[in-house]
Amino acid sequence: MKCEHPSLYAALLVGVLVNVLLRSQTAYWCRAGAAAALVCAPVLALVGTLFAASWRQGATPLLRLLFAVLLAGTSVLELLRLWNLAQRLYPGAVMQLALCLLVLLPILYLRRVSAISQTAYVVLCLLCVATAGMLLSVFPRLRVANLQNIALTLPDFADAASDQLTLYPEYLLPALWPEPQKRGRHTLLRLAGAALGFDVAIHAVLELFYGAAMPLRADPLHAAARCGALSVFTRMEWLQLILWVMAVTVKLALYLYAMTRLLGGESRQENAAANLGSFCVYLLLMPTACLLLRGLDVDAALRWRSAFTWGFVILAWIGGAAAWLCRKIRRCS
Amino acid sequence: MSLLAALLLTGCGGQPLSKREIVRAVFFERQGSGYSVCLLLADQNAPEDEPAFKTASAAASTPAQALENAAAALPGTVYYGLLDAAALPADVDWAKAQEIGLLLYDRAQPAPELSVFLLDGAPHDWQKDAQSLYEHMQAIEDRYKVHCGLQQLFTQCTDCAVPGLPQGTGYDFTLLASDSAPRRCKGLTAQLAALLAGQTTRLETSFAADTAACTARVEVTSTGGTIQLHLHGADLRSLAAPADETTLCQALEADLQTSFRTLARTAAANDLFHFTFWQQALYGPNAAPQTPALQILWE
Repeated sequence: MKCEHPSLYAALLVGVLVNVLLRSQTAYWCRAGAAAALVCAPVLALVGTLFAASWRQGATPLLRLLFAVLLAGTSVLELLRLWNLAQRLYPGAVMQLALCLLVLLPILYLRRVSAISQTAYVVLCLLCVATAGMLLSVFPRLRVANLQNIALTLPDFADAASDQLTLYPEYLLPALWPEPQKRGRHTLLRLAGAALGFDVAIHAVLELFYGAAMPLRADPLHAAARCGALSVFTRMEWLQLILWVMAVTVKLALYLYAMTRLLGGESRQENAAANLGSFCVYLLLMPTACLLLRGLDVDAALRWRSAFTWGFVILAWIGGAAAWLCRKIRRCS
Repeated sequence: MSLLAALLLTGCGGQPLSKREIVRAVFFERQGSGYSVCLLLADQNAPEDEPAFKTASAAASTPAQALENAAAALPGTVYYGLLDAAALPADVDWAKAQEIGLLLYDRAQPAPELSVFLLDGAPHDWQKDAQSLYEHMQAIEDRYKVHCGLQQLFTQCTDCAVPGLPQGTGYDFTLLASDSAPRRCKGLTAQLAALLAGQTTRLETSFAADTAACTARVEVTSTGGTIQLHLHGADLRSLAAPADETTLCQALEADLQTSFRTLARTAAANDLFHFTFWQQALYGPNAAPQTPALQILWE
């Protein structure tokens, strides 16, 4: 529990896998996605690495504030996305406030980084088991002849690349961790590779299942899971909901930890728990924001979030380059 | 204060399932120039010894409007989450099947995979027939292991194949394509079509002009232009004069070959049975298309 440098890789991985599992629509044909992933994974890793380098050159208070805003906004969008999914898949089963509290209350325990790390491994295992179960249950319905053998065009690859280059905060968070050299090598490359590999694999399964109809289906993964032989995906709604809630909780706990570091200063001890007072403010603000934004088009907002993240990263690069130049000039003079 | 505001304003959107109108099946039928829709619903207030289903039907110029009217006729909120069967009009063409399929996708979003059938051509009184039609669809699925999920209407861009309720025994199978009229197959041809389309793995039909019957588990494989039908544990019986097994095998093979030629001709313009797909997978996208041949293997 009191590990000196708990690994947050599992939490980051849960964060990016949630984006795949909770998506409301597929984005590309799997052949185009597989080709694009070979380029996009290194690009994402490079972007994250350059961001971390710029951040260490000296993040200004404005950049810190923007990063915290980005994380807070993303937290609200994640809650709204889960709420919309619950509305579509389990209509009337849970109300918005209840769902928000289901997600947010466990974060009280996850205020320490070591707790996030341990819980993330458990949730990751559960997600893997659920995904494997789903695949086994729909296996008899997968047909090779459903794969689209039409010639792919440039727009197909562009669609895949544009989806895969969505910049999630998870690719930027490692910049905030102290002593990155002690946290494993090529973290960002492994993270981007695992996320895009999983995304392409899920698209392949969905293409084998839906064929040409794949882009039409809303919540394709959940709909496919319900068609499988395992009644757990059709009947035990609460079990599924709890799994999604746990995954989103880990993601939001990680964001809260990062926000605490951003706003409370990075000098504090790494495994210190987030202040209880600030957690209460967080607990009050999130459901209220969700309530006020309940009519928001979440898919459109997530696209805007990605654009905002790219803008923020470019700003950080410029800031980092300027700080590096200033330091060089000062040394020369 | 924020929590209080959230508590007051979030509201309770939940409604227990027992207070909803649970749709189990939906039937579409052409009625004059418009459409008639019937919803078969679980009757949660029915006494133990009475039918547990009730119906709601309506007609309109389009399937969507008719469905809307049928739902509006019910006192409670309609719930499609337990919908498991849908029947399309007997004479539906590809475009209309797509339209109704998309309508079901929109309305029945939370439901697991639906079984789709085409109705038989007979006129129906929804109040009397809806439950028996639903049970007939389920019986066909159970006995013949044939299943066409809603998403299978869309797995290919320009064609699809849907099993149909028969007027006799077995099941029909209708081939729908965007550029040709629907073709409804019956008997052995229907079952072979369902096997080739990957919608069943069971052959249970009569052959040789209804003088013999066959039951077998079937697996379909493809090597380039040859489609191989693996018949596992085939049980052949003569329904007329006694005949030896070799004669029955030859008669079944002859009937299967005749049906296959008919289906290959019908599906030549599109790739309903994936013949071209498998050829391209083996010989590349620019290979000259071969005429598919059927090989029957007894195992």
